[in-house]
Amino acid sequence: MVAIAETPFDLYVAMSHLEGEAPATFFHWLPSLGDLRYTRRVRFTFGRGLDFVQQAKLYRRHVQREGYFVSLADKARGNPNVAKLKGAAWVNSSTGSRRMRTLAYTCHTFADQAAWVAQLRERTGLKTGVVHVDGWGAFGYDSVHPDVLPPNREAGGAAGLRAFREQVGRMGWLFGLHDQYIDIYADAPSYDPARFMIKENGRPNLLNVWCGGLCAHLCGTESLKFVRRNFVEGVKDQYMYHNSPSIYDLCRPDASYLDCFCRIHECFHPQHPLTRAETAWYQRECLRTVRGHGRKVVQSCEHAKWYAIPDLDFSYGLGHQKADVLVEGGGHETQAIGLPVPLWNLVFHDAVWTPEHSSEYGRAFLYGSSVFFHAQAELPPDDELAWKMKLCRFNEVVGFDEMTDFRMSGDGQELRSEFSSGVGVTYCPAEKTCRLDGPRSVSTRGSVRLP
Amino acid sequence: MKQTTSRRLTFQNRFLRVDLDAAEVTWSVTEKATGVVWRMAPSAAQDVTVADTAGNRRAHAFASSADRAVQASRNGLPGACIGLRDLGLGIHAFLDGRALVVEIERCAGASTTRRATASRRWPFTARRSATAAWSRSPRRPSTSTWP
Repeated sequence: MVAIAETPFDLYVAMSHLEGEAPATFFHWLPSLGDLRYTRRVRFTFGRGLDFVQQAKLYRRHVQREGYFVSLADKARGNPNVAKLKGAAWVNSSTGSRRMRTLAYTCHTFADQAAWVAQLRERTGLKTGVVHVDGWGAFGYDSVHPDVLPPNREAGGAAGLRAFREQVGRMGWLFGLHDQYIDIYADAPSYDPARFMIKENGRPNLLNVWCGGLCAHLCGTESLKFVRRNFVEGVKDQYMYHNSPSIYDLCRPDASYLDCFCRIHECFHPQHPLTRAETAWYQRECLRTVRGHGRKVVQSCEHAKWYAIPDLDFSYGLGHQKADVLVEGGGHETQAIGLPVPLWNLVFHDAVWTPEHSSEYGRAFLYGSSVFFHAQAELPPDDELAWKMKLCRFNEVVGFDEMTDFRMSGDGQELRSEFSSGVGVTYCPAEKTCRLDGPRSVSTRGSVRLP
Repeated sequence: MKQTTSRRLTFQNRFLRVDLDAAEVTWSVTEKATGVVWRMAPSAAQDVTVADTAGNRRAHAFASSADRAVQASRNGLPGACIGLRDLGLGIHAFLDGRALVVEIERCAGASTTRRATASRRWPFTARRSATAAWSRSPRRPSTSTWP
């Protein structure tokens, strides 16, 4: 049996696996702005052979029917830059960081970063990659949002950023900026409590965790205004010493990352109340604003959710649902309960390109993921480079494929995934061995040991 | 099927049979091809939390409803609507091919203007966290107890 919530915005799913009881999941319907504002509907489908793979495929057909599924192949037909993701690496490049709580400060110039990216390109020979530039804003990473313009002066300002972008373009790689429209920082010129997302208890979400110090969460209605201002219109207010052209006009990025989207909240602010479904709509409008205007931008965010799939081209932090519990050691370490399975990939692998952040190469092969690099003066060790290059070559074959099957034998001693191009991956986590079969370009001779 | 106070009723199609116990507000679903039976967990005290106009909240079991009625499914498919009118809640369950579709909705009660804000899990075991908030007033949002 599989249960699909046909009204998916106001609920959460709880899981239970207690000794002596069958494991179970629960739909808990949440109020929408404090009320059951509409009829909630769940469809329980019964049938033979509905294991987790078939459950995922049933859900895949559901999201296709509902219009939440656009394949990478279809996205590439509308935007040729999407095709460049196949076999690419995500290359993270850090600019400025000003940590308010410790007063630590670092800054790498755009020129240095351009040199490091070029060095990585030369060493790896990668034909395609996505450069993701962090901390490029006026005061560095996670600071003074949403007023990040103009680009960091110490790093080279607008001219330096443009030169960086042009060099990456000449390499044939994609160039994108990390940006964020969830937080509004206390030292941002646009800071105004009237813009806050207000919780049901009447209070804003105030936090002092990130580099930039004290901030609150923006209501989704406000996020869209700032995305339009920063990306399309340019800053018209006289602040930060001058007006700034839009991000488009400054450096014409062909990639983009909007941080922290794909989490939905309600807003109880009396002047701009927002349901979770409306928040999702505003987030999609933000993604469309950046991706639109014929600029062929490939769009990304973290932990892509179903409602944003048509407006996203790549994302990380995906793969499988896992239930973590805090390890009682006084730290923040968690451990997974049970054996994770890639439900997300079984549904969406051919709709969103997925680089793998960690160095778990076995999982990256198993899920057909690509890799991350960091642009820095020192290149990664040869062994790391070699494995990541193998993963990029593998991703060139399966990166846009549907994951058609996933099996485990024993108690997860052997895991096997299959892709629509006929490639199969068998991975033994305990022995850290991996076997690829399918086309000759990717097949291994027997199992190979991973680092 | 006309409105009824009958405690038990059955509806079915080619693939599934649903046995409904209106008194306990529970179902069981039988897959006809295999004989596999899926049972809904018993109604529990944490099914729903009702908030009154003063903001006081109280948990209720569906089965605690003293003003309920069962009617035929309103869309012509085999099914039933259970009105828990004193809780202001309607549960509409109907068969659609190999699926049982369950809808939870507000329904105006005969003696109250309570309005539903949310409802609970189905069909598994009850949990303490299976709560939801309701409000009597349409204009005043209630405070929920969700984590």
